[in-house]
Amino acid sequence: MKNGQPDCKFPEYLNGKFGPIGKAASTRDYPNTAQYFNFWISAGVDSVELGNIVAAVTDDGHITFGTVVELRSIMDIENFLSDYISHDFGDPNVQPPSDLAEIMIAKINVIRSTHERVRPIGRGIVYFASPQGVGWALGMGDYVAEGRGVPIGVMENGDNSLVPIFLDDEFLIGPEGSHMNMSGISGLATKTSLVEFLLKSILEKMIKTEKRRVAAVFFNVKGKDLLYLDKPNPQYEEDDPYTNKCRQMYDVLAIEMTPFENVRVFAPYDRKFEGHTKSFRRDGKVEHFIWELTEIVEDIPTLFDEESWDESVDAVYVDVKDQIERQPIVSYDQLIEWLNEERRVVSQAHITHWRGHEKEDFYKTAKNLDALAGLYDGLICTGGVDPVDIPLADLYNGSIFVIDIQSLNDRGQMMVFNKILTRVYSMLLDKNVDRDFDSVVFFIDELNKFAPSDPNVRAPIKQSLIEICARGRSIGVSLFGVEQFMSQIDRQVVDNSSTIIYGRTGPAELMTDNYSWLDQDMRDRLTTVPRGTFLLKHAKFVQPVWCKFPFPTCVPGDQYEEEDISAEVETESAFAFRRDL
Amino acid sequence: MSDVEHLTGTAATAAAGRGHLSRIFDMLSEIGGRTSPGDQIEESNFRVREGFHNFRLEPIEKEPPGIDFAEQPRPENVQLVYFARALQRTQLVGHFYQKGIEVPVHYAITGSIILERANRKFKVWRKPELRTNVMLPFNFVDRRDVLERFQGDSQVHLVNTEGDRAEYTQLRIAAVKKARELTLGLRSQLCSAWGLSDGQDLKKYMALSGTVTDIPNKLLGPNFFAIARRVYVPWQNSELLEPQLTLPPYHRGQVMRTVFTTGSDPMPKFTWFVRLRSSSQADPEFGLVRITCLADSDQEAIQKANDITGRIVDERLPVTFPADGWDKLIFPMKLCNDFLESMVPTRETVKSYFARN
Repeated sequence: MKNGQPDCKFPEYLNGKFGPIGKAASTRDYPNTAQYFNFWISAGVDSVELGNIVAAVTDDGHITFGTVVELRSIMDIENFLSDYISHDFGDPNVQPPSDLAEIMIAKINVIRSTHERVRPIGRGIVYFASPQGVGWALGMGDYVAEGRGVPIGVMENGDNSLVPIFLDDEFLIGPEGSHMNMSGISGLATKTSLVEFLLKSILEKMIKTEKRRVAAVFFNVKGKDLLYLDKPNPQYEEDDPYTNKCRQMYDVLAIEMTPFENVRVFAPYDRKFEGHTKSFRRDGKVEHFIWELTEIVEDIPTLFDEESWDESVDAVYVDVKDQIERQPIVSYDQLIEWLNEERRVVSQAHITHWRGHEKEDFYKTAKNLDALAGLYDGLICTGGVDPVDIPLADLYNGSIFVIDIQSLNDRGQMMVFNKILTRVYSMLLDKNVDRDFDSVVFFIDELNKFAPSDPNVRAPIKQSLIEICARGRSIGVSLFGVEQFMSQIDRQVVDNSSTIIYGRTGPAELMTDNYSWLDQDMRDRLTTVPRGTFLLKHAKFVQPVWCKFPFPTCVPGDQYEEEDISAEVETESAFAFRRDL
Repeated sequence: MSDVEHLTGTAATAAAGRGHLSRIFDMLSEIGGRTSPGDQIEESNFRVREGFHNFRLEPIEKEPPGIDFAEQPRPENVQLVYFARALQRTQLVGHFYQKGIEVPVHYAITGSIILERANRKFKVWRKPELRTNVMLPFNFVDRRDVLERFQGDSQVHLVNTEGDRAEYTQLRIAAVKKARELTLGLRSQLCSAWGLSDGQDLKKYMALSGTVTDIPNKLLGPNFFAIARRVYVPWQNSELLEPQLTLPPYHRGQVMRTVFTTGSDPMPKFTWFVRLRSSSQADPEFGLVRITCLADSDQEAIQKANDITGRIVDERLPVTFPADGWDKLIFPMKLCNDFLESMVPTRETVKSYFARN
């Protein structure tokens, strides 16, 4: 030690002021390897916990950084029998004159070493890594310096320091890597809030640095989750310790505490209430969209389940589509009119087939198409309602489109999501399109519905999603998908995500393959992880990092009460079409 | 980031650990010896006579008091705060042929430690005394230059075992004796330092593991006692030991004075047995330890015996099972041993290092 600083080549990477927190040792039973090492924790140091990032200084002055992945408490007790005897044969109240030695051992997964050689460390005095050290260890320094760092939260180390954690934008929104997947059980206000926070972070950083032009399209699939991104979070009127800590996090991460700007919200048209939409937001901010038949003609089969839309129906629909193009039939009303005429003709006794198909198959197809307007009211133009599209051409750098599809059933949601996604994909592919963005972040909750891992579950857009996940990074499409159980997501979607976030997860889910790479203690901690905390795996990080993030700057939709939700009937209306077919 | 001039941490640690073993190996080579590590430590092979045959036991009580000390109130003026223990490990590592006999070379670790207990927690009192020695009889070594060169070594002490009987086994015994002498020297050094400082608080007692029978009384203090684990030793009237074998648990035997009968200083001390614990299938010596202390009078000795016995019965918990001899081992002494052992290479390391040609 010199001047209170440890003898090492990079003292700035350690918290020398806090002092040593233990010493690395390698034993017969627990030998150190190049991948991990063990250290005992000094007496009186009680702040080391799972996820802390520590730095071991070896005799040569080099530093090996690592994450605490396991903590073991060892007492000088050979077995339970001896301890039982030590308590005067089983009396818990007996206090022997000597307290048994008790120590804490930490297992550290190596992140990075200042030494170029890859080899285990033997002895080494262990310190908490300084924020600078954490930055170096995780490899954040380079891309942060180049303006590519996107703050995602802070890591709170055992010395109470808040270390800002940055993602590399080239691995978050392309082109080196892309996509984010987040899993965790519902009800902790973590997943949606984190995405809101991350989006704020991305947009602000990108706009500030002017290096990337990013727009966002969010899909609101349930309740009011994402409907109020433009409203300030009233939580920040509070003065409690956690809120203050959140403010501190914004300071550390250099993000402004303002709600989103340039937000537009779209929802299906509500014909019963002129000017309204099938959205819970009723302050006039939501714009409606409704599509003409020709817009969705290719998607119609995806709106029905397998029982209603079997292979024979599909075959009939090929001829229906052919007629739609040939005649042409441009509106749904025209389609129904034409189908009625066809039905009248086919109903004649001497006619046994419709264009080579069994009459029953034609009737079944026509029946499905009849039902379409009722099932997806607000999505398809009928009764003279003019089509209104979602103006994707209006997307620009820093803008956010929220598509509120909570009123639709799963198949309807899938259809809208896929349509918007493929359109933006095409826009980005088309060099001739004049646009003010290079990348678009898509956010969708309940991703398991769209890309399920179970091959037996019908998921018409799954292949499209896999394709986008595989190729999107180079084109500028970034998918932020969220679900409760990662095991229910197609593996290719997860594997193509450069950033994976784990929130609180149940033990049964943790037993699946998706989590097997995590150390047992880390896995176990996921079962109890508190609100606002998550485990981050990023393509640039060798080890996962426990992070915390603050309340988002916008109001969480489920906590927002509009003053003017006057007509109860309107609320009912918003729900009315969320029927499972 | 590379630094080729530095050893890596692991290599440096390993090199430091092997350093003195390497030098002993070199010395052995230079004097024409060869390695021959023993399977056991020499203390297990040879029992050093401790001189009990020069002492007599004189009971100052007719019979044991018959008190269950587990149930007795504890005296405030006797508190067990300090615990001392020595470490001695003599290992045969090689031999050389000289003057018609095989001459053994030993590696010996000698040390002593005092642990201090406060609020049921332990810490090392000052610092442990520890010495690493290479031992051989100098008068059998022709290459004096090698010895002289080695004597300057700061990490390993070159020790003359002074064995004069030109027999291989006797020279081995001489090495163990010398090691014991060194160990007692270190123990005495540490205990004296304690006696002159913290030992001045007479309420705070030190328990020392081992025997002090042959230590002059002037070197021992009034708040000091020794715990010996061996029941039978060849006192002049060792038949007095026989009744001790029937002591019930948590009882003490009668207090006896020990007197040195062959010298000018009789070194009178007081000793008694205590049954720390018992078991239904235990042998008669199970849990039986012998305590030795100083006292100015028989009455004081009896009072001290009662006070110390109560305190030592308390130390039966926590148990040290399944440590060797756990029935007589109190936890603080085990901790002393663990501490010392943690500071030195294991006997397996030494043995395997010298198990090469």
